[in-house]
Amino acid sequence: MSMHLTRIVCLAMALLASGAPGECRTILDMDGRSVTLPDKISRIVTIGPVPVLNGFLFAFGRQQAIANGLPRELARKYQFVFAPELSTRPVVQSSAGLAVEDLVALRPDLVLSMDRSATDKLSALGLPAVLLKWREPDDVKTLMGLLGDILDERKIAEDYIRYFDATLARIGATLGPVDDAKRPRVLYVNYRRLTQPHKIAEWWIARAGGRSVTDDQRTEESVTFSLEQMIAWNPDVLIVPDRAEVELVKAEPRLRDVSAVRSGRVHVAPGGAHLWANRTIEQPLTVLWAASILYPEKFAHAALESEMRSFYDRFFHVSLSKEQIDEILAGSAGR
Amino acid sequence: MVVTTALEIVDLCFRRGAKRDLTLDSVSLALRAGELLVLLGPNGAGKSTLVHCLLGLATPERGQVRAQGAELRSLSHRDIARRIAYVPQSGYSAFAFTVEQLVLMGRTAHIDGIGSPSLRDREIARRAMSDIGVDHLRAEPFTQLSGGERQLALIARAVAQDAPIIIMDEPTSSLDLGNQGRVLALMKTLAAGGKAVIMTTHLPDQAFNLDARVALLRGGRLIAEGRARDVCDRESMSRLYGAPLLRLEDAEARGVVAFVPELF
Amino acid sequence: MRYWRVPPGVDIDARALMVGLVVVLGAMIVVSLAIGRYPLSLMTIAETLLGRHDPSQAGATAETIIFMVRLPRIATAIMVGAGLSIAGSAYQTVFRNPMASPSLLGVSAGAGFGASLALLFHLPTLGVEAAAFAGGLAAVGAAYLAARSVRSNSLITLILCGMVMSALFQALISLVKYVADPVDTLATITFWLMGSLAKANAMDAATVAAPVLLGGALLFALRWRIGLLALGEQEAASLGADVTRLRTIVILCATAMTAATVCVAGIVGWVGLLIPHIARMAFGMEPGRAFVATAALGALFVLGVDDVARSASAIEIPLGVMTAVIGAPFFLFLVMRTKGEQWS
Repeated sequence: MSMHLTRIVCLAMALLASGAPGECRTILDMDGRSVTLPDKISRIVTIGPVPVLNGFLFAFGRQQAIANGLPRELARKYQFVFAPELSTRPVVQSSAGLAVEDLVALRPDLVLSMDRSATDKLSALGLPAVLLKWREPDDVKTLMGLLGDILDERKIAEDYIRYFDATLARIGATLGPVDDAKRPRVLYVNYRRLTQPHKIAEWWIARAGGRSVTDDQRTEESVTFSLEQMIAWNPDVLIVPDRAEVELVKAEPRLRDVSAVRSGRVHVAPGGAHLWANRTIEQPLTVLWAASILYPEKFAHAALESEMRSFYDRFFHVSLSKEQIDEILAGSAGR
Repeated sequence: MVVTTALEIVDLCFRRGAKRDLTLDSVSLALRAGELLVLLGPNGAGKSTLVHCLLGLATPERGQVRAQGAELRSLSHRDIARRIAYVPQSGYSAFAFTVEQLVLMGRTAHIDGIGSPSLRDREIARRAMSDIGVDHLRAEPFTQLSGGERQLALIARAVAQDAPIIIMDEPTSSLDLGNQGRVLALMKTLAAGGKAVIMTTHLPDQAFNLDARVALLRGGRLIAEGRARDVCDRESMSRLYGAPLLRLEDAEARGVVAFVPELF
Repeated sequence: MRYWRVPPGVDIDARALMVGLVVVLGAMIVVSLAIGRYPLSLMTIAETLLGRHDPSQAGATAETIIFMVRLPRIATAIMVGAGLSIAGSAYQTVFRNPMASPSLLGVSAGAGFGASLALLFHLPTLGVEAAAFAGGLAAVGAAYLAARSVRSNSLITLILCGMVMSALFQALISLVKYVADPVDTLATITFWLMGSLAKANAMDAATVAAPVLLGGALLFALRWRIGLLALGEQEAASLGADVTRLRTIVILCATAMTAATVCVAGIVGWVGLLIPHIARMAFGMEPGRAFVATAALGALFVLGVDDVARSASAIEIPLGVMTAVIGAPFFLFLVMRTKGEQWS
């Protein structure tokens, strides 16, 4: 019933938009659901992890098509650097939930979401809501492929997928065979809550040649532990989400004997379109960055910078200055 | 022997909240050491209210209560407790104190500051328990005693409190005849020992049995006072309870008279 | 419940009991020092405690673990357990209700609100703890004022006002969560409320120890008079107790102690409800014995539960969750054993 409704809405909107009967097509989203979309997609709404979804759209050059703004708590400076018009767009999402009426008023041709219940709710209202999923590391490639189909930019999708595989292969080759015992022990931690919040970190730490101390093939997204456990793991490298946490870690007297603190290897995760340590289209850069802090002798800083310049140029069509590169690498200030 | 007025109630008036009628209306009574007074009246006559006023738990609208010459209004709870001991009806308790602990609580008014009972206090409590005859129950939880045993324990507590005036609120209400007898006998002994004892009840025969002074309370007013045989006749009792009563007398009853409702 | 009661006729000397419980607690502390995610041999622990300084890196870390991680956490757990149990026992006596818990008048909800608000404004840890303490006292104070404005001195009114305040502050907590950003602050608030000793340091131990020891000392000194309150207002007054003042002191102490535990450990339930019952059942109602038994059993319980929470696996289980998971079924078990009859 909702599928027919979507069709009717789609046709009606196409009619209103172009004055002539428009085409509609059906695609399967990453949950296997059929979604009917208009041929021409000129207004896109991203809900949920807005910066992450926006990042994908930046790669497809669809900055102008994004119809919604960034919720206050998710806003990052570089989102507006890559898409200045975002600052003028209305925000349809807050911590209270979705402002559904505002969303419908935007008349989107496509709604991207990573949450099943939100997608269901919007589909029931007749909106063209597509569910994207990213659980396994390789899902990002499937995701980009699907977006490529939807936006009729298959070439860009394939380009990204090639780039993703090639970069990871290159990093792997430069690393060479790494003895498990010689891998640096890495802990990605939100120190204020003593949690490792994202399972994806286990993957990019491993691909960068490190060993994540929290990696135990768990299925849960995050894991919480005690201070004593942190000391027991004795990581060689600590990665934290913002600079304020670096200060907290360094100021904690009980951590001063931990290997990472003693050798000063406490790093802030960089942040571009999104925090690099979490799921983001910039993930290949995450792996390269991690490799460069774990094996600085094999991965020069200059090479990281030039790779960043080339990535943002190629996929976001933005030329970054030296200051901007440093700013991205410096991560956010935190509270 | 010096006869002293232990308790004096002068023109006591009590009003509950903003009600129009007084719950107690100009009640005046006096009690001497060694005297036993039975307060007789129907339900709602104001007996409990009077008891609360005598204990300093309720503030009267007018009038005075003097315990051993001191006005209740000017005394702290502690000072009142040193003069007047209270034996409530043995009700439900949520916590299972042992009899010994309960009786020991009677010594509160004699313990200074924030301290705990001394060895002497414990001795006094033990003696009270053995005097009343509940010493063998001292380690038993109060909640597991029978109604009669509970009442006796509460009396032991009042004895331990060592106050010259004892007020008992319907002490025999849930007791069988055997226990009733025990409690009444105890009251006679206490009075004989020099204490001033007031007991509220709605059974006139107890006044006769105790050969005590009687005060009739109805509608908040003291309508009569005197010896039981003088004050309690069939007419006055029927009037008191607002119902026809039969008077039971027996030559071998040694002067004890009972009243029962007359049914049709 | 005859099963755990001391056989009649055997009069346990209060002093012997205290010594016994202290010994058990001491043994538990030793065991707790030996447990943890960081591997330490008993030899190392003993040597570190004796002050034999091992100059190597391992020695320095062992010192850090023993003196700066485990010992403070153990001390905090003991204070939290003792504090909550004593507060719960005091509340149950004052309100003459064996079902009363320390959160009856809203102190937990108030402290939770204070902490949530502080976390919303990104205050440092000290600020969060201060706000939690203030919030707890404010909630109970509000309940008191509300009861006074109704111009009633009765306990029922106070309890009702306490329930209202508890509900009000719970709603305020929800409001704070609503406004907080879901990415970071909301998770921090939720985690804080669940209760955890994961980062307990010496400062935390001191923060909770001060009110618990001071309040506990006062309640212990007054233990005998507080017992009178269990008889009810009128009976206690007729025995000569200053009911109003006693009640105020007891509620103030119990509230301060509970607020302090919420400050460092979040909202930990069931301890204040359960432990006083077990103490009463096993050791009787004599005030001195009951107090020591309650405090010691509470300390043992929370210490034991926290030992499990921090060493069972790499994942840290929130303390409040564990006390509920263990406490609720155990409470049901007690109800079944006593067949719902007389409590203690």
